[in-house]
Amino acid sequence: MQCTDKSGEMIPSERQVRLRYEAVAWVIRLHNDQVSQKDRRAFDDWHAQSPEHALMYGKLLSIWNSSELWAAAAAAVEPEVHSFNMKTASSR
Amino acid sequence: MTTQILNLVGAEPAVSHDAGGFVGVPIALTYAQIASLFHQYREELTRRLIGMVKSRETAADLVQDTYVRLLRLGDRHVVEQPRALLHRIAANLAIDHIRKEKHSVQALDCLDTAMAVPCQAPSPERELFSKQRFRIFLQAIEHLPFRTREAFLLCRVHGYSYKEIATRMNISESGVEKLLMRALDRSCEALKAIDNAE
Repeated sequence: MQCTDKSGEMIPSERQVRLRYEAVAWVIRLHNDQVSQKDRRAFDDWHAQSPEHALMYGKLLSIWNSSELWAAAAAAVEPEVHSFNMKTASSR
Repeated sequence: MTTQILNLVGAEPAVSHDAGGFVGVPIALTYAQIASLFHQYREELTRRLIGMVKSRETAADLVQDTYVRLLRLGDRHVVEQPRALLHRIAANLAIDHIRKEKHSVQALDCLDTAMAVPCQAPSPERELFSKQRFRIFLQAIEHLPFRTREAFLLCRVHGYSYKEIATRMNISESGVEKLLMRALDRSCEALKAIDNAE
């Protein structure tokens, strides 16, 4: 849940902040090809805790895997790729 | 570790050269990624199957079956076109269902539409959105602290394992994780600028 402060800015609740931190940690942990079975089980438990857990994980994973992020990373390494055909990054 | 390449996507080339270049990069799906893929395409698949089987309930069941099929492929396969694969599985299940039912000629007319994966050409809106995201990510990456950026690029662009990055940067693997976490967190944070504007 989110609420707004006096200026109308969205303030994520503590729960939301914690969820996001945990989801970020799981996306990174599971990206490791050496991830242990123990971690996988721990992730399954975490993920199954609530729909919010699953949603937050899905959101972070989709950012991590997004073609735009890959394209941006490639462009950061090789600036000449910067102008590469954006169509490459625009389909999912 | 051996990784099997699944040749379930038929005519599609191993690495696609079309607009879906990045989508075409083979990826080994973990169960968690399968769950996420499914989550991402569930609605799209359901809509398509409703069109085919003319029943929301049956479509929902078939989409669920699609997920189970995908999970059965295991988590050590390389899936080259996850979206196309999901559509292929779902369409095949729907065709099987229609054949079994054979309740109307109308349903069989759907077989033709069933065989084509919907057009993936991005809409102008999608393209603009994508460009915006690309720029925001690039900016976020350029603003990352040096070591965070280094770990992130070694991981995402050069495909180094955490272990290799750890050795190269002379830190522990959990140190690598912390740097990558920061990179992902900043990327997510950066997106808020356009998410809030929508």
